[in-house]
Amino acid sequence: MSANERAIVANTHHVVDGGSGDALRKVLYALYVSAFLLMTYGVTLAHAFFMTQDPDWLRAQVVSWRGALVLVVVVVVGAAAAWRAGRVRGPVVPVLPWIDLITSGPLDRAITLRRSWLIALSLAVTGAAMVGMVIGGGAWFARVGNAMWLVVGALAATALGIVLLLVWLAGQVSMSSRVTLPLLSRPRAALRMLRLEDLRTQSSRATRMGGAVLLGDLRALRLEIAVPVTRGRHRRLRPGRAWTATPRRDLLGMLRAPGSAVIAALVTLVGAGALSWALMYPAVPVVVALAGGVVLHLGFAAAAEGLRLQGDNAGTPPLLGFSFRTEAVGHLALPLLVSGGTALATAAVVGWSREASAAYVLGTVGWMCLMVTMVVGTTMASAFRGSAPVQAFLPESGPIAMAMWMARQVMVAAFATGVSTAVLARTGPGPVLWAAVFVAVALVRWGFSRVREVALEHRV
Amino acid sequence: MRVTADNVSKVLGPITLLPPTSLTAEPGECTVVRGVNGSGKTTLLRILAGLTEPTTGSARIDGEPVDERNPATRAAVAALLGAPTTYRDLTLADHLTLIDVSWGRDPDTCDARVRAGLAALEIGHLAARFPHELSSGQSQLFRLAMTMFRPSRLLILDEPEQRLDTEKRALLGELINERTAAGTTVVMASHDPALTETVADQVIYLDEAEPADGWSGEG
Repeated sequence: MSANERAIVANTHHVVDGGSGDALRKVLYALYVSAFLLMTYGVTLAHAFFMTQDPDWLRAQVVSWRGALVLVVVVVVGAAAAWRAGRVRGPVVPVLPWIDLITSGPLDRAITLRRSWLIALSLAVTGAAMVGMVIGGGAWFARVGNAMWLVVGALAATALGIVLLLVWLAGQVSMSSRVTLPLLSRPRAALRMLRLEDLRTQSSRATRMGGAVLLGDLRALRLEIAVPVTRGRHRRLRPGRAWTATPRRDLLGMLRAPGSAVIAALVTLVGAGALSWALMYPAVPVVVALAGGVVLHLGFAAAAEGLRLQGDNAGTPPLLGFSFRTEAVGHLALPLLVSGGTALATAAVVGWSREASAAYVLGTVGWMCLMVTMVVGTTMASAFRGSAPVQAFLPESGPIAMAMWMARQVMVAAFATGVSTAVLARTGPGPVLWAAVFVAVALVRWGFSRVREVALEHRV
Repeated sequence: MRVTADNVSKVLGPITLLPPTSLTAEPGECTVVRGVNGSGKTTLLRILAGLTEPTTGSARIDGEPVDERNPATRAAVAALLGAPTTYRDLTLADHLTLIDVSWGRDPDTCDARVRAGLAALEIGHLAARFPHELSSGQSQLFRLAMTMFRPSRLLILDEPEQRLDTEKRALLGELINERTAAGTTVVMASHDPALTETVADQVIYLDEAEPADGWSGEG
């Protein structure tokens, strides 16, 4: 790497930025927002988690083989996700003009991409260290551990963050060439392996994803992220009874992309677990129940690809002989089986672990039935959300209106499931039970009303 | 199926998308709508498919107002107006099977119909491909296959020849003639004089919509 080349690139950055230091300011702002959110919500959650655990039991788990197993699972799942993310949008993705005008030139690619890499590295290191401090600090404040937990937590999380960043980069490099293990420890060499065309592809994809977010085009965003389906092409959709066609279509789609079923089940497990935990222990803060509601909604939605595709199809001349509503009902079967089944099983296991009586377990499972019913409604409303409102495109209110439009269904799911669970945990069965039944019915009706409205609103 | 449009027009704010237009298409006839870009061909076809409400006038099929919300309209009208959204996880054969099943046809003979539906557009060898694995011309043939595969008595096609090579355009002409010979009413927009010559029983020319917003397009 020649000093001359470094100077040329530094000068070029100076010309592009106009010497304003905007790039540095953006990085610092991102760190500031991350720190703010972690301090506000992360510390509360970590503290709540450790407060509701038996300190002796927890300490024993951390140093046992189970603790090691959890750590290994977290690292492996995180690495797999980082690798996959790298193939969609890696950590080193400059803007297109930089790629076309500078990276394409004769300068060392490791130098022209160095700033992007350093930004990713600084965000990863700082972010991971903060997460480690929040977890370690939460344990310390809850008197599960001592001050060393904070230090060890920060160091371990930082190391993990760097490893995941390198795997993320390796995932990106894998688009351009074969990644070997030694390459993971030599980021400079990895940067030199990145092909111009792959950089351009990822950069333009990132731009399109940003544009899709600004336009509220969630279908375009999904298609950018989704892996093209190529497997199971010789497995055929078989002819059969008309009413079974939609669930069989969804099942076939899931068999061709089995990862979606696994993700849906895992995410549902986490959401249902959090809600069940919040139901059984009144000391669990409301924010845990709210987060559980968000995750349960996302888990159910992850299994509802057919429902979303139908929503995308609204307004095009009909090809299928079903009514719009019948088709939507058919698309609910698979998510109910995969996500609903996982949620009920999770509630049963968590309930059994607290009190091994059939009545208690049945009560927990019954409550989870209501929660699943609620997310059925919010998922339908989400799949058939229609077009973004005009306010989302106005300069004054645009970003907030767009964010609200995108998040409305998931927020409703969070409040409906989270608040009712938290209230039930604190007051016991009574009026809240009837209120929850009422809310669940109302949300399903909301979902079906969105199906009807989307089927008709395109006719202008 | 007799299709009539009586002085239908479409105006959105200051923009005239379609000036008042009338047409009558008899059963077993092919009507080709021609005109320059922006003359309102697609808007007219959308009105005939019941997807767009006309600002003035009315469109009817067999004397009944056409409205896509009406199941009878949906059962009668197959339309290719832009690219239909496809399932990214279904192959071409699966798409046709799903359409076949959804119309309650005999499951025992479904496979044969699916094979024939794809073979008619000469894309039988692509049966096991996913939609994202097709070229733009193959995608257009697949869209035509889906549209022509579902049962219909009125077939509406918006520039069906786009992205097709000369040979495939000729094939398309033959298929449209087969449909009209079987009694289907066809209304289509086209810029291809040869295809129009092959299939048209009548040709409707649309003039360019007048710029009602006062902008003449001249500097």
